[in-house]
Amino acid sequence: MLDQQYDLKSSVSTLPPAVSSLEMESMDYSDSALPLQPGASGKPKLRVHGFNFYYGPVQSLFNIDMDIPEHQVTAFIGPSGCGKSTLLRCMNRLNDLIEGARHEGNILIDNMDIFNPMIDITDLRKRVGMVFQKSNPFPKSIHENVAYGPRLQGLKNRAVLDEIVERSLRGAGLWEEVKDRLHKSALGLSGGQQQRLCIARALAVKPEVLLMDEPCSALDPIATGIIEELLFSLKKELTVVIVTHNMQQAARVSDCTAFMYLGRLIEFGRTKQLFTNPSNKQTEDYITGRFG
Amino acid sequence: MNVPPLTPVSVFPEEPSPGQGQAATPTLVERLLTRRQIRLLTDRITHFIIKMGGISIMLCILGMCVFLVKEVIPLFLSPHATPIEPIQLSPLDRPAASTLVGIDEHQELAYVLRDHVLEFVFLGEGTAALSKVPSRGLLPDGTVTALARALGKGHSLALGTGDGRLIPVTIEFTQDFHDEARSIAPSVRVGTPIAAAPTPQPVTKLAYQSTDSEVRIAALLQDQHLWLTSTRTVSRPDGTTAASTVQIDLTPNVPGRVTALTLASRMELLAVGTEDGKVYHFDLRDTAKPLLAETTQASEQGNTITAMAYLMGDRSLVVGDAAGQVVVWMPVREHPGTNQTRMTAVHRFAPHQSAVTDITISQRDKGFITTDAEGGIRLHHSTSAQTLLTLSPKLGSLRSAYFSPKADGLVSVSENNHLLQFHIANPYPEITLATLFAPVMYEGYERPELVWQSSSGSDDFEAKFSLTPLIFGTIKGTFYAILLAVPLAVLAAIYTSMFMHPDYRAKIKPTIEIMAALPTVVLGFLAGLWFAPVLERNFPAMTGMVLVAPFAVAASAGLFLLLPASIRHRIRPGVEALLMMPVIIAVVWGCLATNAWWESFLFNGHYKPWLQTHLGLNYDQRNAIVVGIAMGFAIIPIIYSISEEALTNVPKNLIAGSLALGATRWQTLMYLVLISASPGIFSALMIGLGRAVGETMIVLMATGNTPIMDWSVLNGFRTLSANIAVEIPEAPHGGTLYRTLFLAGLLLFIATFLLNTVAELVRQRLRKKYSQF
Repeated sequence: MLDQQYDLKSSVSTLPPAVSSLEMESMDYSDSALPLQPGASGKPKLRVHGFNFYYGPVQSLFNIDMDIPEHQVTAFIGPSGCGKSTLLRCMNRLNDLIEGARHEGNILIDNMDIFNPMIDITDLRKRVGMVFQKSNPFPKSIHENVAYGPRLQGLKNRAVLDEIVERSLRGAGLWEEVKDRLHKSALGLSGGQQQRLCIARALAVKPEVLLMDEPCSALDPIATGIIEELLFSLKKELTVVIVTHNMQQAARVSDCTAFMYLGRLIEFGRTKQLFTNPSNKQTEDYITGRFG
Repeated sequence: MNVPPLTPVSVFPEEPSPGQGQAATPTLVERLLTRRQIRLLTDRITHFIIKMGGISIMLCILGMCVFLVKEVIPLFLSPHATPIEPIQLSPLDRPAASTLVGIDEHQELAYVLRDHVLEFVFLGEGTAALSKVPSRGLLPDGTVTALARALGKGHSLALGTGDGRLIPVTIEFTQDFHDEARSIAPSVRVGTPIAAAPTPQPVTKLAYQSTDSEVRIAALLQDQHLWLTSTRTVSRPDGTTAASTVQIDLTPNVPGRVTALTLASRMELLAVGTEDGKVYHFDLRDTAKPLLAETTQASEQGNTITAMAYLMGDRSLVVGDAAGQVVVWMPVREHPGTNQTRMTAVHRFAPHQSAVTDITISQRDKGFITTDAEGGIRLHHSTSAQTLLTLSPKLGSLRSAYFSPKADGLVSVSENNHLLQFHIANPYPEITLATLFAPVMYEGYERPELVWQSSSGSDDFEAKFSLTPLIFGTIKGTFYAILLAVPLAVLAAIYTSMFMHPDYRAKIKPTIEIMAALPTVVLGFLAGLWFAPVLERNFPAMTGMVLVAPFAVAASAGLFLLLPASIRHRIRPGVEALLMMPVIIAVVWGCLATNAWWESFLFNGHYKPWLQTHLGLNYDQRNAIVVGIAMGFAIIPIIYSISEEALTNVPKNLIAGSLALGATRWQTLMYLVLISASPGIFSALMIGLGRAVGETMIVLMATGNTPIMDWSVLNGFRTLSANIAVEIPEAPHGGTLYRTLFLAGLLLFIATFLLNTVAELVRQRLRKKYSQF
């Protein structure tokens, strides 16, 4: 149902990462030739090229290359500590905050290098929103939480803000539950509601990409189900990248899946392909539960 | 979707079912039980110890509070008098024209002088009713017509005779110790008669005062002439003495019929009261030329003045009249800057129902006792303007009264020959809520004022115990310290926690915290002895720094932005502060180097006269700027440390959430971090405030300790805490000053308690509102 628009056999990379990175060295980024394209009709939104990442002396990402298609849900799976979240947080440069962090290689959004010193980091983060593993509503009212992003951009008109808040809360499927208590503290919401509030808050700045770092790991199955439903509607508007530990979830919600292991991208392909016919032994071992 | 089905796996396949294998060995059960008991016991003991710790801390604080209150409460207990059974004196042949009564300082032996008959009465140990020393006539002929007592210490009396002479009589009490028992023996010395007037007329009224070398008598004769006699005895080198006497008739100065006379204890003042309610104030400093300084209508209704007395210190005059009015008059300067004074009615007391018959003053403070014709007795205190006690023994008109030397008792004689005695417990007459906190009219002041001055060189000084200037000083010191410390500490905390490079943060935070370890006595010493003179020398330069520094900082920040982006990006974020250091140092050095220029540019050459003439400000070397900086320095570490902790403890995921929404660090700080950290920052402010309120050594050494009330930043002040430190060595145990200092301590205790309580309540509210967890 999700993948009818893609040609399943088109191109699944089976190249070892080291080889592909060697090829990337000489590549022109603006070239539309994509080495790792899971869906032919999907235009790449984010492109990761030969990306290495270090926490101080420790290298945590090795030569990542991947193209994340637009208007699709891409899932990162892999055992704990494999670098999924690190890669995700690099995509809106949140790792800049970490002392001693440095990187090599590039991440491009719409063919623009996000690490270019001339780029405004706050602009980037407006375009690339993020939802965290642990819901983090601000200690403010629900309305203020959602209006936080637009307000930062100088939006003061009350009516416009109200409209954005309603639209974002509807987008996150929370409107009906909170419309009568918009001005109550967000801390009074349940865990699932808080997480959806965080999604609404991220949606309020109209991002092009939404990064989700294990958004359901602290939620019960019902709340998880609601958020998974949400992803189907969200991808019409934007590109979603989701990190998850739950392979069933990855299989349920994503169009493409990347399997990472020990900081390397082991396999990246169409979800169906990766789960039913993994081309890599490690991937197969992982998804069948033999390790991890 | 083809997801491989998960096969259910038994989690603990090898685990035996519960209970199996354990019940088999009873020793194991026993051991388990004992272990469980030990665990329970440990738990209980720990619980008990922790509970005891908490309770004992609360008990300690409560104990301190109870102790302070216990020390303070006696100040506010109303005085009370214990009556002793009146003693019937031996009857006289005819009613006495004049009566005097007195008592020794232990209140064991009283004397009563009725005309020429002197009688001693033992009052101690249940033998009160018996007169062990028989009465005797001091003069054989018994023509005593008037009696007077010299004000002040000792029992110097004077008898005025029918033939116009004055006979000084001194009564002394000598103590003897036999077998650890104290016995008191009176001795009476009758001096050489002095002619009170040139004409031998009966003396009807008498005022008397004497020193070793000088005697002064004001005598009213039967012919209504008022004579002032001054006799000075001069010792000659050959051992003989010569007396020179000056006698002046004051009658022309006093038109009305004289009804009351009193001489001040230093003999410089004479007050004459008349039948029509006037009081004539004579200045006797020039013995040969007494001067009628002033005439006042002491009784507005024109009532006869019946009794007068100068209070201890000779400034205030108590006037009692026939209608029972009791008023304290004192000289009050008419215009500031002149020495012209006017006698003014300052304190009015609740009137007696009948004429005031006698006024006897305390030899310890500004208290006095008045008696009336219906037998009423009242104890007053001039400074606090209150009548402390009202007694009505109803034993007939009281002729004479005497306030015992230690101000703890009273004897009085009534017209029907009863000797009345009261023990008075009145240790703190000068303390009322009004004297502690409200403006009070003191002797020598132009208007009611708030003054703290607990002691002075002389014994007859009027103690001034207003705590208001000290509370003011505490608030002023705290205010200036907070004014300096809070912006600096909180901004520094924000900068280090949010913007500074972590490498520098790791060094700077402990450095600032080490500042807290500096003893405040060192800070106070540096502030008072090093910084205050430096500031005094460089005041214009410091003013210049305040003016120049903000511009220099803003300008250098602007210049930084003008640098090409390529250079700017090479500077790591969080290092900007280091780049600012040379600018600050340059400004400080530059201003100090151009001190003279600043002085001529800002202050026309000399800043102190300029401040005085243009702003009316006086520059004290030890002033609120010095204290603000030194005390600010003392409280910066604590405010900084707690605020920094609060800011750093704002959950990283909240900050990440805000940044991920495209907020800049500044926006994240303003809209999120400050709000989330507000409970902690508020606590920091309150703890800093509490510390500043109670801080002692810095204010002690750097304020000059002048208890004045002036908000000027260039003046000193005195705080409650410094006041305790300054005065406690001078406060005798259990005295008024001692207890007042405890009251100051209690006020500090209450202030910090209230501050902490309010802080905790606000903090909890904030935390409930803004805290995540």
